[in-house]
Amino acid sequence: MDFLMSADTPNGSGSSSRRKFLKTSGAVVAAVAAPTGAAAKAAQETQALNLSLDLPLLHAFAEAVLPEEIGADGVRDALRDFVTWMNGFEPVAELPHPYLSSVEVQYGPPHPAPRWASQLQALDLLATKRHGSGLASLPVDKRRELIAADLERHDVDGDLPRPAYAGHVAVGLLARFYSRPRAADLAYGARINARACRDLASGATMPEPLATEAQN
Amino acid sequence: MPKVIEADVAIIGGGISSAMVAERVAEDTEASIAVIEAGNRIFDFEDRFNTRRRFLDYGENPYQGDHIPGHSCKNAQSRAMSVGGLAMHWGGTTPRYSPEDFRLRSLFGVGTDWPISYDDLQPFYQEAEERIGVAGEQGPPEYDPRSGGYPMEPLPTSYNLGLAKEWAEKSGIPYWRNPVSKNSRPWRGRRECIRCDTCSICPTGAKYSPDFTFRSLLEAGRITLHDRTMVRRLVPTADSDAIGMADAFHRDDPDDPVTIRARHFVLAAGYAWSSHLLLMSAGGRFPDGIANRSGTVGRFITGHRWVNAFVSVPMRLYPGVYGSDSLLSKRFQHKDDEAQPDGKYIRHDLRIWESDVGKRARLRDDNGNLLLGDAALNDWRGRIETGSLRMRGYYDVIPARESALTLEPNRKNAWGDPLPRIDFVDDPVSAELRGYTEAKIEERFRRILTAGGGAMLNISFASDYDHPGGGCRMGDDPDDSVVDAWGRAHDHENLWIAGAPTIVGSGCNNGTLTFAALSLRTASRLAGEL
Repeated sequence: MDFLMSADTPNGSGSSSRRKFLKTSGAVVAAVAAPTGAAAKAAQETQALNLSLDLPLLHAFAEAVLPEEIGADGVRDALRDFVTWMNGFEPVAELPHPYLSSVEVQYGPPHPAPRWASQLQALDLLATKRHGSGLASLPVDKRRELIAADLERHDVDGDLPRPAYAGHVAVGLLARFYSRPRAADLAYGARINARACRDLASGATMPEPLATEAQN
Repeated sequence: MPKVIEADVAIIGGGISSAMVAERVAEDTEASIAVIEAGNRIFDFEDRFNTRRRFLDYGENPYQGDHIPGHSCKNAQSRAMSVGGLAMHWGGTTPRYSPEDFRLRSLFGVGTDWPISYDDLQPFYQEAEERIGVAGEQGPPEYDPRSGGYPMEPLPTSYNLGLAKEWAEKSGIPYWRNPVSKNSRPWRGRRECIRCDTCSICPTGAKYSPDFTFRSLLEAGRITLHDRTMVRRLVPTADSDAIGMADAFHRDDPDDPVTIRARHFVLAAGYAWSSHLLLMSAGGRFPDGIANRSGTVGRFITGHRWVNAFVSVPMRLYPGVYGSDSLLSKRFQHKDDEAQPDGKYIRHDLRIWESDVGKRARLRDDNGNLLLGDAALNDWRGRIETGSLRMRGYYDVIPARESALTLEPNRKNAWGDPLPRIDFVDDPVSAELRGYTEAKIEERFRRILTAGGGAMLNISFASDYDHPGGGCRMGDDPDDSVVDAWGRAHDHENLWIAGAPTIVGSGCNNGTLTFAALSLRTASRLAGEL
């Protein structure tokens, strides 16, 4: 049997219908992400994906949590990825059985979105009660103060877990953001493109600086 | 589903040993071959880009349903039970054992010599490397003897590993590329590696897994494959010690027995489940189990322990390109005064990988301050001017006879059969040397650090055995072993045991290639009798 050709392109033939639907939904998100203003776009995305999260609120939240240097486009991109990730999440999924362990097969957590949504709403309420207006109306530094205090109340530690295990929506957002290859590229200033399939020889040289990519 | 399975050769188990036996017997003979596997058939190759993506994004098992719920061996290495076995998940690392591994008693006065030598196994190592496709780099011949070259040239050394090699060799310890079953060019219908770096779920088929062999054999009409079929008992004939049949059932219809009849039975169910089936088959003229007149079925379970360290090194590395690639040194598996400076038995490998330990984004800095906004990215940038590496040494452990798999009468699977447990027990020689060995390996890690520069971030020591095997060990003496040097049971002329269960020791290297080579050696002898 020749397996050379059949692996050339990704193929969704074996996925569940739910996953196919979600993949399609993700494509819809990309299509509707027209430059018509972040809030309007966010509302569209929220509706399209049928999530319980208030996306304009999440956007305001993300501006305070994510690095400023990624700019407005970077925040939108990170949020689009985060929402797509949430929408593709399968609750209580079968996990890989750990090596060197005979424990019964483990399953993942329930969907984190409802918990995160309630945390966002609570932060928004807190902002209103403390400052007289919702989170989105506050300057970024004020939003960050509120979020930091909330993280301290949740006793978060320094390690970023897998996003689904994040007890707080800020940790979930950051965990997802920093797990993406482009975050490492930003930190290293180089086109590492971690976990990307690539031609065999290319990993043998030092990754090119990001500046080279920009010039191209 | 059939109620009777008949074949010239019935292979029980569907992992890499089974694949090697099936392929070799199919090539050498016209015999009919039935492969019986208790787990599911997961022929999902065409979907692996998707399963890989979900593995990366969500941490999901890329081989959903590759186990049987509730059917576990306590303290076994893995829950994997499916067509392809643990070699679906494996990292594809394929070092050979060293010549010394086969002659511990003769060379070092410890353990037990195998009934075969490295030279006896060498042609089958070469054959296994050809079949599964191994890419490798010849190490120094005195530490890495080979009669022939690797089938494929090594994958190009990653940038990070190239720097790591220069750094480590300042210690005077030679390192070379660990061989891998990953294609550096198209090989036997599978494409070349494109460094996706998720080798446990290889989306291109560049890493060998046994499903490729089984699919090819099925397409050629050379085997029948009976998945979800659990064998419960091997039954000898009434008038001889030969195995006449096996009792089984299909998991979709467990109340309706399946009978397997064959001229030869090959037990290729791995080190745990092979011993389990033999013990489960006790009765009549064989009250202690099939193939167990010696009382050694399930005994001498072997493996090696590790010492693992993460180190900080004075060079900028870029983790994430090809982290599964590693450097190997067999310098301290050799017998000489530097490897065993105090005359005590100590043998181990040395490995190095790139690492991102201490080099990941985080939420708090060293003072416990929360890092939001630019602070987290700047904190990350401040920690990556130096790199991290992972160092590891597997050291040989001599198993005691009491290092054993036994049946737990009160722990049963869904069909009422007692399940196995494994208790690892060191031979007194290894038990006494454990602390010395671990300290010596740590000392050698520090020698490398001192020469190349850097600092130890953390070090840990294994509690149990890695890369286990045994339980049906081979030997010339039927009173002290289960199978002969070819894998044939001493007690049953038509029962063969392939691969991991038959090993005498685990040496200091990953075992899969050796299991494959032993299986091919067994198959070569079996084929001659068909």
